[in-house]
Amino acid sequence: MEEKLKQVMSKVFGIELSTIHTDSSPETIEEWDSLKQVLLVIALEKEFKIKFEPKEILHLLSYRHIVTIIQDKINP
Amino acid sequence: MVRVPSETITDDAVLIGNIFVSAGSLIEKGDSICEVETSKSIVEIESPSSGYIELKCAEAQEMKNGDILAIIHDTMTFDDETPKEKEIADTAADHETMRPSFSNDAVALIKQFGLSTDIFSNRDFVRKKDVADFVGIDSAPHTMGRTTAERKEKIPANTDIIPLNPLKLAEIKNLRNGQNAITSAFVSKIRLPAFALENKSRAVFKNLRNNLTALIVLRTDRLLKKYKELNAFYHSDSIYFYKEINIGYAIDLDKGLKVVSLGNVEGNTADVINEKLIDFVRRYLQDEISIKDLQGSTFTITDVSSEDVFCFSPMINKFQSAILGISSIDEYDGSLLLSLVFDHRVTEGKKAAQFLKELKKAITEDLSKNSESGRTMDKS
Repeated sequence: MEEKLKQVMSKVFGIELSTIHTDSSPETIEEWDSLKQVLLVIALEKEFKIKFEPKEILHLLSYRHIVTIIQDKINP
Repeated sequence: MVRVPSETITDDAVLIGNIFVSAGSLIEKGDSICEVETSKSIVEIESPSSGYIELKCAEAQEMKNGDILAIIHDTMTFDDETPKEKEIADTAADHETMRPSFSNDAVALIKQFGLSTDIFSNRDFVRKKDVADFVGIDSAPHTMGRTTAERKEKIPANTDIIPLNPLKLAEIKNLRNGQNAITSAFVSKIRLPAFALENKSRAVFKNLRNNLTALIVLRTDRLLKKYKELNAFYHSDSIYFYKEINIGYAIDLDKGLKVVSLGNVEGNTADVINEKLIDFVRRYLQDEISIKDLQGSTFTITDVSSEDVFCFSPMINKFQSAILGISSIDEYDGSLLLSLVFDHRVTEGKKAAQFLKELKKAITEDLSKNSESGRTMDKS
């Protein structure tokens, strides 16, 4: 799952796969702004066939947190 | 009968301008039917009574003083464009109920805008113009997007012609009101809080920008209760004050400019506003914005802060008297500019300046209360 997540993030932010790691966040990825956040959400929903609530989108602010949320949704 | 009013117009002939109603539609007494252009001014013709309107004029047509412009009928029995019988193939058909007939062009436009046929259930037949009027675009190809004066102009030769798409035409029609407005643009500079200037990291600016729009929406909503003229519009020598405040937020992410209505935000926190904005952006990117999402806004905020725009002068939307523009954060100067464009027919410069001054003060105070983590105010 994390491999897929990294690939999605790489595509959305337009960055190398190798630059994405567990500490990645808007603070470490310059391209990660509010618009890219929404694009990331759309891409993740498509890739993992899940749905994020608007409240959740606002707080998807780190790689770790995204992993946790996706895991919870895939394995409720 | 509605005639070119000879009692108020002295010209022998007039030119028909915009027609605001569609043939066969049910109108109320006082509704604007059309404009007539004289040598001195543009006169709006209102309906003297309620009923079904039979138009006897067309846009850009020259008519004599006293000629019949329209006839108002009690029932819709007069002869009009004969529609082709056409069922909408992908809607559920209930053959036992009466359904309107649709012309082929109306069907195409309905499908293009993803409308429900139920919208027209009160009609016997629906033409392209009826659908276009509902969406808010002109349907006649030769007049689309062009004012009366433009139609009389000689078009330069040796040009390539690319027709505008319906979305762009709808945008033009909405903005055309701004051309009739008498506008000024006032600009105010907001300085970012000290912690942002000391720590000029991209993450800090990103966080501020993400929260700033929500703060501006909340503070604007509050101030519009005091500055009611900015939540109003000019029409036919009167000011129409909206009873409610409904801020529209302009989104343009390469799928056309759309102004979504945020609804009543009183009592919302900045986080709730952010959720609404994010949801609208998501739906915009997935082509899920409905006509209802685009209706009802009374004041517009347009945010180009992600486009590296230092300062700009946005255009006022139809049936509004002001618009607020948010520019990009100048990371070297530690500031951003708010531009308020307003209609002088509705308010004075001093009031607009006071509105902007109070908005700046409120936002600056809100930003100063933020901690370095960038948490926003909890309650509006």
